Amino acid sequence: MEVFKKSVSKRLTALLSLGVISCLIIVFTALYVGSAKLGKNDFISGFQTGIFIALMGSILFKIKELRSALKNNDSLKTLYIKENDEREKLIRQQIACNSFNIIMIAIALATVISGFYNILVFSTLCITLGFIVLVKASLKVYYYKKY
Amino acid sequence: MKTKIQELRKKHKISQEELALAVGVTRQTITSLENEKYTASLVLAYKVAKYFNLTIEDIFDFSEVEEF
Repeated sequence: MEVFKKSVSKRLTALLSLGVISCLIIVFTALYVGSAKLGKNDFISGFQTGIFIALMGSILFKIKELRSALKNNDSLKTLYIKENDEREKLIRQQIACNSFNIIMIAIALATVISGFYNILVFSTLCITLGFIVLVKASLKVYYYKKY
Repeated sequence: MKTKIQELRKKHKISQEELALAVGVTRQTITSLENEKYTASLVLAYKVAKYFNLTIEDIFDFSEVEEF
């Protein structure tokens, strides 16, 4: 449990650092990048700011969870069980595997359809699809060798 | 996979939460085991058997396991 406590403390520190960086990015994108000087679209600027605000929100939630876990041994044990429960791990694994495949198929379909309308969108989706396939192939080789 | 976990739990008068805490899983995992929706790993099966002071075969029913 001591090892787990140390890893939780490290994660808390990492999250706090990430939170600070997200805050700085939010301020930077809202004040400077979104300005007309750079010819940036208001919608895109707002979208980027929104993403970092949502990220900030989830970071704050996670920080609260980890801090309350570090307060006493019972909460720490509850967090340990929640994160290491084999059924939860299996569910997370199944979600990751299936969602990866569904997203890959969806992007492939979008690539084909976009080819009829816009070459830029088609190229972007093509490159994205290539990257996803490369990641999947690399991970497959890695895990086959590992196990 | 069929198990006798619910029967043993009631016999020993312990709740799902107590058993879950004792073997290091969530209460939902114990519920899924009792409802035959989830098959325990070897480690979990061993922990449950050790908790009740029985063998794995006494608690988990392997009669429906396919033989190749």
